[in-house]
Amino acid sequence: MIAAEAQAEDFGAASRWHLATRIAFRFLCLYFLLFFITNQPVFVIPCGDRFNRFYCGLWYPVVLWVGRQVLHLSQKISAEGCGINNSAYGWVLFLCYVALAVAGTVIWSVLDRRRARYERLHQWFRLLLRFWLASAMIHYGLIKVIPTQMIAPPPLSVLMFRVGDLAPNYLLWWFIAASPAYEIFTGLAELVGGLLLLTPRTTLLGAMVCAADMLTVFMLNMSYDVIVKLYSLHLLVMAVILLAPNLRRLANLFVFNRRVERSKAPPLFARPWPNRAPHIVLFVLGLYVIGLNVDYAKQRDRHVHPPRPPLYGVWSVEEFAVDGKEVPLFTDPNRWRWVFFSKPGSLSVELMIGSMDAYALDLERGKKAMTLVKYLEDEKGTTVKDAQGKPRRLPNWRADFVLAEPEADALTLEGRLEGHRTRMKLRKMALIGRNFHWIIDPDTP
Amino acid sequence: MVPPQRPNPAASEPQPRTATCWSPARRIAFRFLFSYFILFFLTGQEIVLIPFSGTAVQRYTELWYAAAVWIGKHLLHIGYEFPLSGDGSGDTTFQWILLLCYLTLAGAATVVWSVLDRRRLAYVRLQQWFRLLLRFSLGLALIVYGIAKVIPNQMPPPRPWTLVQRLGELPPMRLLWTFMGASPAYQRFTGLAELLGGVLLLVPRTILLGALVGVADMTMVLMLNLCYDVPVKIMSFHYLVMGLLLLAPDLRRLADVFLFNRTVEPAGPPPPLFRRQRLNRAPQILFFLLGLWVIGESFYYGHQRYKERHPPRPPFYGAWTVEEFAVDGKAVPLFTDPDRWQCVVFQDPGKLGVERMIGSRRAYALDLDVQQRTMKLGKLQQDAEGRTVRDVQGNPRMDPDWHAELAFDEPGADVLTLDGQWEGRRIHAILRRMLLTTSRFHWLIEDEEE
Repeated sequence: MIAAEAQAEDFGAASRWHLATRIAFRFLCLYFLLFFITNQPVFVIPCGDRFNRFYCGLWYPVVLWVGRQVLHLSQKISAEGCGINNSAYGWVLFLCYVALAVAGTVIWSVLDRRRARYERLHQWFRLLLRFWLASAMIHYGLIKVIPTQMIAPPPLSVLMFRVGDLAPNYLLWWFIAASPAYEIFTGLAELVGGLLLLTPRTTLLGAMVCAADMLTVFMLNMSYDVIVKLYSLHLLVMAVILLAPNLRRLANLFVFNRRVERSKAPPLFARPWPNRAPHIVLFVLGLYVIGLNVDYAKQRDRHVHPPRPPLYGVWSVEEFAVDGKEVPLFTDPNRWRWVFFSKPGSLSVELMIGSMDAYALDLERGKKAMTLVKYLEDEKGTTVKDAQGKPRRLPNWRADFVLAEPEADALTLEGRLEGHRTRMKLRKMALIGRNFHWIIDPDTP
Repeated sequence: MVPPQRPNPAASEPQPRTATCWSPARRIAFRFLFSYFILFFLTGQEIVLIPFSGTAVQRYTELWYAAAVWIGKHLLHIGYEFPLSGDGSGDTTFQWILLLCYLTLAGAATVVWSVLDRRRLAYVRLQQWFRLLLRFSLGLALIVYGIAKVIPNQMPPPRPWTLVQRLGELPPMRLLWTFMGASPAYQRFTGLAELLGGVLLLVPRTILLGALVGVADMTMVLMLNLCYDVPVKIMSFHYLVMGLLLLAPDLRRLADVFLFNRTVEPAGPPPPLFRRQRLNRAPQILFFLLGLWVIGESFYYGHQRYKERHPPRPPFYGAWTVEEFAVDGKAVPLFTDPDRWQCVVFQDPGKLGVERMIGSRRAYALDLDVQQRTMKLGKLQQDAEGRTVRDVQGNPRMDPDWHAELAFDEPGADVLTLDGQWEGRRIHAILRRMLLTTSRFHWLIEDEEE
């Protein structure tokens, strides 16, 4: 290995790395070597999952022991996943990695004190960083491009939450989910960063895009108390490490207006011929990662976005008239307040008092008429189900309505409900209505 | 300090300026963009930052008011009365008519200019003035918007009455504002990203970096405006285009570094703004000083505005969920009694808001005695639409026969109990502050936590 390093010496303006650079490099190498096996990108590698389980199994007792005996933690430590995150387990694991990497750096620095630089090792390290960061960015990018990370648009039950009842991380989540287009845009920004890391030529640009993305993500995680603060910081650091060797060139371009030299990457091997192979392997692995994640996101998409019925949404009951007489809001506890078309064949109603009624729904094709049927309930108020597990319908009760859509996001229902002639006007909740306006004039008085 | 900007010559050696020749397409594009952005600038948001420009700008804009009304009525046959002031909206009918006028005028100007000036090979010096104009617009906009977020004024923290609303009831823009307002830290971060771009545009040497940062910022802002229906779509789109125009001459150099891995020579000195050499730095220095002035002014007024908008909060300020409610010693579960309290809001000083199960909201006059730990309440008269009735002096009118006195206690953090007579009944309520405003930062997420 030393001979091989010596051969590379003629490459570029080879000079001795600064002592601090050498020590930092040793530490980062060791730290990330420990870290790399823990999170999802490793599953792409053949037998990666088994390797990962084995590796995590090794760490599990160590983390428990360190947590209890060394740090005297009172928290319960459970290995949820096995990576670095903001759980007690993740923090102890993080401390173990840091301690081990520091110890390793000391030993390495003493034994290898004559070494001037780690040019070739640095290239391998970059290859590993690129693979890891690209996999993570492609993963997070694709599950936003197919908007399933934040289920967009938010499920109807979420729309009924009071804003103040959301923890900050949920506010962030449902804010992004409220606009599928925005989620796709943020996903594209991550996906592009990941894809650019897959070829050596565009790695610098990719690292810049990833650093910008991850800085935003890290700030969001810190500001809205999302649980992946530590993990997103790792991704940000990886992007910065990839940028670091180019910082002088970037400063020459952007600040000093000096000549920007070509970047020359030292070879990965002493012999020239296999040099391209690792890059090609990385690229192919990247394509495989894309395929895996598209599959995963599509599968999740089917799961979180079941087929939607016509009129899907939460509708506010703006007008409610019984036998021709308007029942204003806030007067009758049993007046309908919200109507939910959430699943095919069913309709839910929230009454003014806040309780829910569920009906079986027969909606005529073309949305011109609908029939509601009540479910049979026992004394406790739970629905009675038949042998197949389907809820049984209450005989002799039905309500028929004629539907009309007088304008966008509005719906009128006219028919008989509980023996009374009933007319309703519904309007779709503001957040899920038609929400794009080129022209917005302030209301003229 | 040598300002670096100039259109990139393909050859490595800076060429003598006399030899510069633009392609006809580039010349025509330049004439159009120059005419268009001059027109846009004259009614834009940044021109008033020029000292003493106010009256002239006002007069000029009034000309356009008249023109737009006439054009809207007679040429475009717009069938409704459109307001001329945006009142917070930048995407009004008036603005769209203006854009249409500017496009037409700039098109016409380009034709005339191209015919009259057909011998001209390039607009080297005019391009430098154009770049100064773009830096003025984009740079100062980034600074003003950035500081409005660095001192988090643009999106104030959500008001307690907003917190009791259902998520789905918020139009998208209010959700965006609520989201940004909920975290001053994040708002500051986005403000810094804008301010950074603006500051970099003040100095000739860092224009390229500033334009890159500005383009990244404005892409984000434009996407947010499009996705959450914020009525600043026109402006943010123009800012983005300005950033791209500032980048354009350096695109080849950027591509050489980031895509082709070629050696990139330093940019030569930018062509002069004036024929006389010694005047050349004056506009740059003036612009820089104006930028500093705008920064100072924005911080000063931003700070004042922040103080005005954040007066000392009344006690218990916030939105509270009624976790338990008992009448005459008997617990009232949810969904049973229309009069059971559901949420309590302390927002404006001297007022207490109650939302009942049936959904109605009512404000009561509140007289809080911290020593005695009591709240004396009066009923504000409301008209049929729920608005407070006021007397001639503008004071809210009270229901003379209605009084209530509740004793309060704080058994724990973010928990409040109320006890007393209320409309002839003895009530007991346990309130808990809503989660969004009590949630603290966690480095460590406990496993047991939901």
